[in-house]
Amino acid sequence: MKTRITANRIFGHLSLSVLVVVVLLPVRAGAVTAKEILERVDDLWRGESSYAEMAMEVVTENWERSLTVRAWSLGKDYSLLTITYPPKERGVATLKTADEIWNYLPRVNRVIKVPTSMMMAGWMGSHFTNDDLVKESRMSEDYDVEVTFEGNRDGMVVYELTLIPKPDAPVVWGKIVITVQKEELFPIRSIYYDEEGSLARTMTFTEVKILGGRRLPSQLILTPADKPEERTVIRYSAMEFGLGLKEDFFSIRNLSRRDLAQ
Amino acid sequence: MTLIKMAWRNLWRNPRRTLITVFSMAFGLTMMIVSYSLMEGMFDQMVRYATVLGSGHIQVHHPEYREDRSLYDTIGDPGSILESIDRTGVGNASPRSFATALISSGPQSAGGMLWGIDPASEVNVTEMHRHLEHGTFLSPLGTGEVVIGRNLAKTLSVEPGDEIIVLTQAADGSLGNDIYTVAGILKSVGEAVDRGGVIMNIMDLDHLLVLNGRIHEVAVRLESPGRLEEGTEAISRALASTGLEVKNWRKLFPELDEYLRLSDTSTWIVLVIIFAVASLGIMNTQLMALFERTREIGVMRALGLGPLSVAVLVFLETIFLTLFAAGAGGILGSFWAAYLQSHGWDLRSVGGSFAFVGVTFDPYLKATLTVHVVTESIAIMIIVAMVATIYPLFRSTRITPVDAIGRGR
Repeated sequence: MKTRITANRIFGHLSLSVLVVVVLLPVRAGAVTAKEILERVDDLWRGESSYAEMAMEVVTENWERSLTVRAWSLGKDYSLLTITYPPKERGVATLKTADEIWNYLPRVNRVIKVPTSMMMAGWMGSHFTNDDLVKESRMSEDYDVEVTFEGNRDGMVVYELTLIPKPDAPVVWGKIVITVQKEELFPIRSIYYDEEGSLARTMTFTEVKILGGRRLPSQLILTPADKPEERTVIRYSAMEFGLGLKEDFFSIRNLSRRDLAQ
Repeated sequence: MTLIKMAWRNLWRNPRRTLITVFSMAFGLTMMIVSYSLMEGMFDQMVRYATVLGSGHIQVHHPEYREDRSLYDTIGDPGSILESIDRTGVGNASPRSFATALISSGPQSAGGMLWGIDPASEVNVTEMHRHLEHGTFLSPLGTGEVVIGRNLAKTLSVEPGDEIIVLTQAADGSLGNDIYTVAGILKSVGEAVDRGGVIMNIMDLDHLLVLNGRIHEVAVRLESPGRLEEGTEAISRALASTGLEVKNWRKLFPELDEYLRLSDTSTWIVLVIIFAVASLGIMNTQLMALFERTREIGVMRALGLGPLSVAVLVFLETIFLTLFAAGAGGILGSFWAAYLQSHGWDLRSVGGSFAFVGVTFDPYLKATLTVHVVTESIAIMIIVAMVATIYPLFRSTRITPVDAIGRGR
């Protein structure tokens, strides 16, 4: 029996939540402990609904492709993503509920559930896994967090948080190191290590913009360590917050609504 | 001549003892033939499951394909490869493509492996089309239909006629998805296929994966499977210029190959042990017979029969016993083994199917009866019987008339 792997959930919802959360953190200089940051992240995230438009560019050694995606989210449990471009895949949609992922395929007009065994497979061919979408556990519950560096680095004042999974936490990573810009508490870079301690993947946050009335990094670049020439880049082009979405929006019925992609 | 007559008569002086000996030897031989042919049958079944129910005898791949089965390590010009193999005349070839996929039906879904095959040529390479539990195999020209593994059918709760949805990543990165009708469900052919195998027309898979005519594998079934190395050599030579990898099942399944090699030796050891136990009985009867007749042999010695003639007499008796046993046991064992060959031995009440070195086996043993099984068994029995009679022979030469006759009083 394969345990359902829940990883660092901050980067759930294709990292949409990261942005939501980080932006909502009050900018406070000085005495914020690492744990406080993460807990506030978790608490502030819940109940918050959002809408985003993004472009996803996937580069692998064999092909390159670009998608545009619309995403709705509610708290830690719900999100709905639908592809709007290219035409061949328009309407392909993914619904994430508490611990399940469903895909809608307009070509065959069917909804299919992603089984546990496919959780580590890439979402729509990207380097984000289905598990990245699902992980609902809270980082501060699954990881012991510590500030391992505080000060000037590469011309920026940063916190460096190191997350080590708690002994029984059902996570895939052995360690995560997050660099956070101290002044505005934006993430700059997250580095993921596997359970053997070797570098697994790096996520970089750049292009700070004002979206949905908030300043946030609008570009995420995920690079797998074993294939450095490959990457998935997500660029947010529009965001809205506080839409007042309810749980019933995140239904299988809505998943197969083609008009969401129009 | 007289000795033969005497030996014959001696045997029937005590028919009960003779018959018991003959029966015990015949029983040993029967058991030996049956277990030997069952073991042969099991090995044949292993090779069969590994080859004609899946991989074929020989496979051709891109040299890096087998390492991580990447979608992109393809064979570029399948038409000319198939033609080259055809020209060698060693067997039939069939093209294949593979991809991992998400398979779904209603609320159920499972991870699986898509097998694109050419139904028209695949039937000359594997016997999967004759190994169906329900429904029919892919029709040669039909598209949009699939044959799936039995456990996958259970997981998805589908029957022939139902539809399944396949979702996979195509070679151009796009999301390949389509709907197919289940034409048939396979019997158990191997763990991987049982659990997630979806067999479909290679044209359908080519379209789904956007492979543009490239394939992943050519499987070959040899006309004479016994000439495996020659066949491999011929195909390697024919494809030398292509840089493709040519491997036969002994190289594709090294664990199975090694197991079979080791088993040959261990089978013999087991058979010799079976019969060695039976031979203790032979020795015992012969010794008992000798002790019982000590007085009688003493009289014969006194009448001028040399010790060597006594030994020959005992030896002839053993030969008669052995021949009777060989006849009876050989016939009985052959019939029993022939029955197990045609009917099989259903062990499903004892346990479910088991997997070994990546190949699944039904708990359904089938014997393989060949001439060499019977002749080797009889040869082992004769040798063991001869060895078992050495000590009684030796004892028989040591009987002296005076002691022997005197003992009776």
